[in-house]
Amino acid sequence: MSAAALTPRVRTIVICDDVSASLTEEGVFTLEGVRYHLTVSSLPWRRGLDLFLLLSSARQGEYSGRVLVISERTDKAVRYVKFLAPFDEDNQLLVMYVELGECVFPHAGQYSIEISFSSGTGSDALKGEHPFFIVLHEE
Amino acid sequence: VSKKTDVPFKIPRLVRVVAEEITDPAERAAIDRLRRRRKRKLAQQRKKS
Repeated sequence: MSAAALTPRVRTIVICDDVSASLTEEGVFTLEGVRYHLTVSSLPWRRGLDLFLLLSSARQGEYSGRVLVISERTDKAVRYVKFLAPFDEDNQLLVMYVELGECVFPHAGQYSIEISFSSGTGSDALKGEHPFFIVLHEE
Repeated sequence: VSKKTDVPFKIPRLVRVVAEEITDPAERAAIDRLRRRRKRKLAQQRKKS
């Protein structure tokens, strides 16, 4: 089977500043500061980015995920990070809040956040993409 | 038509993680190569269809 079939599916990608779990309803979450862009006053601009992800997997196991922040202009990554997604059982949904750390955006324009997972065989599959924009607003 | 199996719903749990930065230049280069290969393959598939 291909890596795409063996690795978790990315059902939801949201860039946001924080997530909190409901105190009264289990499995209900409030997202804060959901964004698709960032307005900056100068470049390069440094800022931490976090992702809210909903993942699913047909098979239990711990999967190695990778997030790249890619400049669409240069087609080069400005941030490379990895994380583990633990699925305790088959057919599980997993809500993850992944802190990517500080990203350095060298220019204004479109960036792409790419999420991929590796299978046990070492092959790799791109499972999700999300656009993100840097808008320069000089005072 | 494939038949979908009905999976019982279980409330998803929230897992917070701090992603680890990939700093090894060799690992980064390997990731870049993989991306370029994937993009080339995708472009070829689009050309064919």
